[in-house]
Amino acid sequence: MTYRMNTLLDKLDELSHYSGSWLTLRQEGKRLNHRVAELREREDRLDDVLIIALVGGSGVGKSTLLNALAGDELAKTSEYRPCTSIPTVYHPPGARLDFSTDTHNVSGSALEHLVVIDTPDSDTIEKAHRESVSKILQHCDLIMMCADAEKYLDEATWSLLRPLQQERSIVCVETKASVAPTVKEHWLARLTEEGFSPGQYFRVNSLRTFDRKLSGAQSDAEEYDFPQLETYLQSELDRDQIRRIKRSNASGLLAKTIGSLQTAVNEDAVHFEQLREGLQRIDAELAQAGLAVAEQRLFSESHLWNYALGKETSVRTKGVVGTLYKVLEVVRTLPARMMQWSPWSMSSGIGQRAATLLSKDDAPATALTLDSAELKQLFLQKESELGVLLAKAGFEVQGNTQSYDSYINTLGDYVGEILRGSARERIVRRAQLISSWPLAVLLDIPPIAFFGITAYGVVKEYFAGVFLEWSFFIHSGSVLAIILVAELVLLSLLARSMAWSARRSSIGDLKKAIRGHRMAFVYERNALDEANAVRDEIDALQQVLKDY
Amino acid sequence: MQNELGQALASFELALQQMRSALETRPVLSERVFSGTEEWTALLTYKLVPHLAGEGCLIGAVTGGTNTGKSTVFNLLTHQKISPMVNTAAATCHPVIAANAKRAAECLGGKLIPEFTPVPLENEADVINSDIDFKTLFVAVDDTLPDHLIIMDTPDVDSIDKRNWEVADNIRAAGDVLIAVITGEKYKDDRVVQYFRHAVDSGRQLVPVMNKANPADNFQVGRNQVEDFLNDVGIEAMSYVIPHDFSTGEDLNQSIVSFQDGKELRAHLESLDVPAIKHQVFAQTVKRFAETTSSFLNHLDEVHTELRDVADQFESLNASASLEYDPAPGKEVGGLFHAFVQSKRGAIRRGIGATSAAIVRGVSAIGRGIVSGVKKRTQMEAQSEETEASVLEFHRAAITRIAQHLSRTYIEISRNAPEPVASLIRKSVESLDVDAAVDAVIEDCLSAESISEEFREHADVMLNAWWEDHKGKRLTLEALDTILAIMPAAIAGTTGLLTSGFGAGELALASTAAGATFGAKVMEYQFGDALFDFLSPWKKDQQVLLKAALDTHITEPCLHELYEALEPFEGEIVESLRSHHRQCVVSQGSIES
Repeated sequence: MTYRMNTLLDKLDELSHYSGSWLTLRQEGKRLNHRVAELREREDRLDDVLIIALVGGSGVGKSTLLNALAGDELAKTSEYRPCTSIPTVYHPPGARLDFSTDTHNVSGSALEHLVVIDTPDSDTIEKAHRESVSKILQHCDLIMMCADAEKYLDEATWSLLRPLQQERSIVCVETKASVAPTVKEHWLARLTEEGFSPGQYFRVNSLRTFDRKLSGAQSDAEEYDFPQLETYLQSELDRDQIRRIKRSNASGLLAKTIGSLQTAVNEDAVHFEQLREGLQRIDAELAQAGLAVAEQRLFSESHLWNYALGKETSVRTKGVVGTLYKVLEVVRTLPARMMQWSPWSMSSGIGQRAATLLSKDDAPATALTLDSAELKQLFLQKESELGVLLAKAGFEVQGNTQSYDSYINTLGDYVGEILRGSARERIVRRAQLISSWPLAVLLDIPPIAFFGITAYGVVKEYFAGVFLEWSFFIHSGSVLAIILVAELVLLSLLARSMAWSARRSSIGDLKKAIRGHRMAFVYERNALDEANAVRDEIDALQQVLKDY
Repeated sequence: MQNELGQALASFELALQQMRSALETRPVLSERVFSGTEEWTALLTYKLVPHLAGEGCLIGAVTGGTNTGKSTVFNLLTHQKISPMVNTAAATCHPVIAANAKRAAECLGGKLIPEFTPVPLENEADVINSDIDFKTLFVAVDDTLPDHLIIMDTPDVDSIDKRNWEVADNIRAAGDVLIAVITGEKYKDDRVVQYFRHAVDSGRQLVPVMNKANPADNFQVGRNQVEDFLNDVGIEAMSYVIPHDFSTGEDLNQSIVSFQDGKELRAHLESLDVPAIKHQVFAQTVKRFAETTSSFLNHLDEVHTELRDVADQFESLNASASLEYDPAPGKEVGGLFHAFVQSKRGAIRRGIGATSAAIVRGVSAIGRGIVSGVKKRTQMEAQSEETEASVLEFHRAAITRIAQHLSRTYIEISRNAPEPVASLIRKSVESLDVDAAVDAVIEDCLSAESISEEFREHADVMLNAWWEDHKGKRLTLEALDTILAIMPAAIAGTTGLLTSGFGAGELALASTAAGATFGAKVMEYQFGDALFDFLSPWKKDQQVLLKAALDTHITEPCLHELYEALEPFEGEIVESLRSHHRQCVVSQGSIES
């Protein structure tokens, strides 16, 4: 049980030191800190000593009761009010106690596990007395609410006890018992009405008992419940009972602490839901906008893809037609490469960088920044929209100047990743296909076959002694050229369509990569997640406490 | 004089009631305003106003802590068992009056103690029945009492039943002589001592009765305790005693006698000088009333300032938010000047411009064919021209941000606001639909005519006036415009010839854009002096418009409850409270002298 209590306290302690941006919890933290310290102090205190405070209005006979219990005049009693001004602590020998207020300590109690404290009054014009009572109450485990018929309903005493409801066990002691009827029923009824749950009720006449004890006589019926009270203190309050009382006090305080914490944090719950939805929506909008920019800027520029595919294909081409295609490709991309050589070139431009990523295996992982005015505008707008939601949910709104950059960079990273990864892979795969042996052979067969047949015809005629006309050579050459051109056109069309399909699929990849990923406001989202986790944790604590 | 005072007091009470009912729906604020005023409002309601209605008999009220035996003392004074004497505490919860038949009839007529509903006491147990309306006053007839004395039994002042306190406080206000029942246990209780101290402060005569006293040693302990009590309260008075072995339950004919001379309490009460005490009580009550109400009026001012400060804070935030709005249409201004100068072109220059544009178009068409990819990229990365829609979008975004930021600030303030302000603004701020409010603000600011249209109209007037006035600058601008008109064509043509079309399209496009920007810059510079005059009133108008819109759609809905709460503080209620208070103070001075 102690172990679990400690775990609970550690959790609460952790919560009380929360320094995130959820203001509600930060404010609660201070209060919580206090409570945790109090609970810890209770945990640390000797487990088997019970501190009992006699609390009540002036003149009800708290000091007399203590004297009667001790059988000795420990505390001064008088008919003049108020009589006791500093608390008398009656404790077993060896107990070390500190109540953060002046006390008059008397050692020698025979009640082994009990420390009984006679407190000053709660109700006279001496305000300091009341404060000293409050301090003692903070430290005690069991309150003996002492009163007689005149004072049992006094607001002064009740108002001291109300804040401690459920945190301290209470025993009622009706003093000055006489022939007059008891107020037990009324008192207990009012206590229950106000939410107290007193454990025991004793009706005593301590003065008579005290006198009897001093004179050494046997107890008689005139002492009312005093013997029962003594028995209760001496034997009923054994270690188990003491532990039970302490446990119930601690769990009462814990329940109150967690309960008030829960109430405080749940006030924001509605806005949390809105914030979560808002974050999701904003993220989706930003992803959409980012995607649009990327698509417009990089993925719609087919020349980038043609260029990259052409480059990859040229490296690998085989055969006659392939070589011709390679030569054509070099000529075709000449203007683009010329642009790079020119001093006005946009070699550092985004398109250039994208092309590099697409067409080089070992391209450096430079950041791809898809900055644009519209994107920034949209981002700032969403940031301000989010600010309202955050404020409503009780979060501190931080004007983070880095957040736009980080958004843009995240977007760039995604795009770069795609270009460097799957898009490039696609390009390479397609280039391999175009320049594969079967295709090269297939393409080479018609011109070579035609050439072979023609050459065979020429040689055959030559040995037959016939010289062919020039027109035949021109004719054959033209046919060969037509075959080659047709094949080159075919190859080029194939390459273009391949580039197109690689581009389309890569757009799909990018969409997939961006969708469902956190693009921006990571800090805010983390704060919300953290706060939600805290709320769940508090709920869990409440549950643990219920089972306990 | 008395009459004047009476009227002032009655009007004060009326104004006070108005104030109370004005704040009725706002419990937190009401609590803040009226807490601590119970004492003097009771004095006003139960003593001052009815007294002036003309009453000539003393009210002796038996008061004290729980279970001290007030009812016992009351019964001993009347020598009858009128009020039930119960063993348990806080039993008596309704005041009981004992008076002779004539006075009892007057009481039942509601004359003596207004606000309470007088009911003849038929069943003794009703006095301790807390289910009966606690404004009930029971009236019992005791014909042994003289015309000028009424005796009252009251609930306690210190038990956990706060309702009893309230009744006790009201009765204290109504009484002239307070029979303070104390015991060995309760003579030093803070709440009890405070109660009587207030009574003495407002001129009540105090008669302490030591109940349950130990007769040993000639009541020495009791005497000392009473002395101590009188010291704490701060007066000297004859005090009376009831020994603890008094078998009160049985014999109500025993008398309560004085410590000092053994004189009987009932006889003492009957022998009191009614007019003198009445006058003293009245004068003291008025004095105390005047003192405490002046601090109440100050308190009212404080609360008012507190609320006003919040309203002011919101309003100033509203105003400064609107000043953040910079409605200058940015690049549009320069472009506008450029377009204006172009519109002033003569026929020749118009021709040159058209030819130039055609050349650029033609050359770039050739270029486009060759370097379509390059062209595309250039177009992507060149600044797209600001269209009407994008200008509007710019304004919409700016206003949205300002409005959202303002709402956010309001939410943050309201979350941290202390009571009673929090109770007035928090709910309305939290229920503000920010999105709808922002839309409404935009609607207000950007509705009617398009912003740039209005701007353009205004600009046209200003520019025409300027054009007429500045002949020198005009020539410079026209020359510049000519150069700008020819330049793109010249560049595109030359490049086109040299590179057989390749690259021309890109260069021409780039130079057109650069030329337009350059031209716009020069125009702006040239128009510099006019620019400020030209923009500032328009800008101010826009800001005022925004301020009003923010006020209507954001600040007003957030503050409406606060404004409503402020009304009674700023209206004539407080004014009349103040003026009647002044009258009271003046009249009070004359009573004392």
